[in-house]
Amino acid sequence: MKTLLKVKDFNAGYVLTSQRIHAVKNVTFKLDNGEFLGIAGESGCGKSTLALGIAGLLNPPGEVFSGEVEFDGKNLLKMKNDSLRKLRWKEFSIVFQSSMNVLNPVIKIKSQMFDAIQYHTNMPSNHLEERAKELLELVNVSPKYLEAYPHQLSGGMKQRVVIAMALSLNPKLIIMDEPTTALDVVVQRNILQEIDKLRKKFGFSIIFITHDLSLLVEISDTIAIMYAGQIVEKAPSTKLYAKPLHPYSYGLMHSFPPLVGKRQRLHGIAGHPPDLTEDIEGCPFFERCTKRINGVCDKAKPSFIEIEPGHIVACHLYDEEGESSAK
Amino acid sequence: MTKKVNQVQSDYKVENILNVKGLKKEFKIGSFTNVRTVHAVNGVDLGIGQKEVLGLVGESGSGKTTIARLIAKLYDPTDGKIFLNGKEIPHKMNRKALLNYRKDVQMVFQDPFSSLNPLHKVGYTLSRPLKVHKIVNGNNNIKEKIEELLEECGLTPAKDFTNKYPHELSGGQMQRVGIARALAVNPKLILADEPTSMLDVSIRLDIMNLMLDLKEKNGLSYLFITHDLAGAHYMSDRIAIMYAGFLVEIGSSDDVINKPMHPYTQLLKKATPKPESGLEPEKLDITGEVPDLTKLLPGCQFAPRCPFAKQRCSEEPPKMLQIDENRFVRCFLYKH
Repeated sequence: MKTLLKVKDFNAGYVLTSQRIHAVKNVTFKLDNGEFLGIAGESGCGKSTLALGIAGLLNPPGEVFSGEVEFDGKNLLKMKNDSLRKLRWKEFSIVFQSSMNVLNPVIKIKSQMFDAIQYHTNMPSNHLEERAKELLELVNVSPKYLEAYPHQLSGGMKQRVVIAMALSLNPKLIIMDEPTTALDVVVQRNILQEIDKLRKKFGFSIIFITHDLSLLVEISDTIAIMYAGQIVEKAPSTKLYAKPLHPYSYGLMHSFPPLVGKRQRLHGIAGHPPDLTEDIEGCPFFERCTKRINGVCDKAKPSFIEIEPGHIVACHLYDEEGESSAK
Repeated sequence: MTKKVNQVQSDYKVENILNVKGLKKEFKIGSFTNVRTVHAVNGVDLGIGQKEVLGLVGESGSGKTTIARLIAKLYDPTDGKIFLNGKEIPHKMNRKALLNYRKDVQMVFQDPFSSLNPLHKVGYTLSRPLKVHKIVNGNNNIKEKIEELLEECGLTPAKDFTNKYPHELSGGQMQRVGIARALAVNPKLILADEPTSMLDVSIRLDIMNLMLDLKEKNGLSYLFITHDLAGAHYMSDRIAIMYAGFLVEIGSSDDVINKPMHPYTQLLKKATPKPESGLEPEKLDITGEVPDLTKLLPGCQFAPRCPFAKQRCSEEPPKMLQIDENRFVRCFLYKH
């Protein structure tokens, strides 16, 4: 399969007058054509910063410090704003968490949908209307809502409209930042079903960001777990679910009470994520880890080890240093 | 009085800490030319036993929070009765009676960030219920009690936390203060309105475990409101499912989750992620949006979305049907 997006040693964060927050640290991953990559982690782990950084939408005080983002052969970080703007929406688009607030409340759905299309193409206006209708039908919203204002739509419908807009120019990649978090479970499932159908039909790739790991293992091909700005484990979702290797992945997976089966006490992950303004020596999860090796995990940063093809983890439990100290 | 109660098909039990009968709440919305009525809660009967956790599950807008606020006497009900320890609570209460009532019934709110006053230190926030309800007297005793409460809720060392402002706390810690505040008056019943939905995933479980521990230790009862079926299953002894202001199903936690009877409960179960029973998500064949609460349907509210709907379902409203001792369902699919 062809690689669509390559992110290498990506560092980003926020520069404030008094401090520098290093929100994304040395993130490296690849995304294939048509792949569904899920990124999971708690709030503050840098998942949204990563998404915005890739899309070139990180506004001050946010800043990309270093790294490479190669999208379809083009280095996005080297591009000027103007040429990036031409690429955005056409080649890749973004759906945000609070799409309810993305739509302008005083402009009709119709004109908002036309806007993106008109910027990138010279579609004549009679075609525009047709295309907008077609798009709404794709996401199961009645075309009569073209004439409506956002307040006349329910939350789920607004989210569908935003997804339709993201699809309008057949992009190769859609980045979705918690697109269904604010919605009810039934609506969420309906929209995800829709997205899956569209992906199979059009073959675009998805980066799906959420904190809901149990949802992610059901819908994505690959999952990357982020903690304190770093990817700590990445694996096909079936493998990650069956055998999470990183103690944080394990903890996160077991933070969700199962729906079916016996009721039994579970335990979350004690403690808090580290302060991102300070440099962390060693593994960022050290403080909260139940399997930590004193003298190893707090001293050296774990590097990535490929346990099986496609399953990588950054943890001393699986490398030589950890093994030698266990002996 | 007793005769009337026996006629009602509900889980009214005299020994329950709280019983609610025919609870109804309507809100008026719109300007004076276009006043509409929102039927938020439409005749809800439920009971919460001693040391029992009742999970109340439903979509947003199904009336879960309104029920909690009605029971907390933050709203006056349009109709219906509330019984605490078998005694009916009047609709209108004076300040003294209300204080007395709230000594037994306390609430924990959804949003810990906005339910604590940002201008006051944690110690002050916790001292208020102690002073208002005269739980302990004397500054030293109050200080001692505050530290005891903080420790009980896992905020240690307690001395540090009394002098902190809410903005110095994390979301999970704030919610612990919210729980400590509710505990301060030694209540019998705590109404927890989505206490974990604003918190981070890794912290949610801690808060739920804290609540379960406190229940065991202090003999509390909870009304645990959530939209997360899995969380409700984890916390509750019994689960009640709401749809459009009606209770549609109620039963023991395991029964409702493992053998959902109402088509809506079945839909909720299908939509909830459950990787433990296979990684392939279940396909939903039901679409449709949340019902319009300003126009109640003559029949079953779920009929327009229900795959099993028959003509009868859109003509007459189904009654709550008792399946066995503590299982009730409101659906014509079962013997009526």
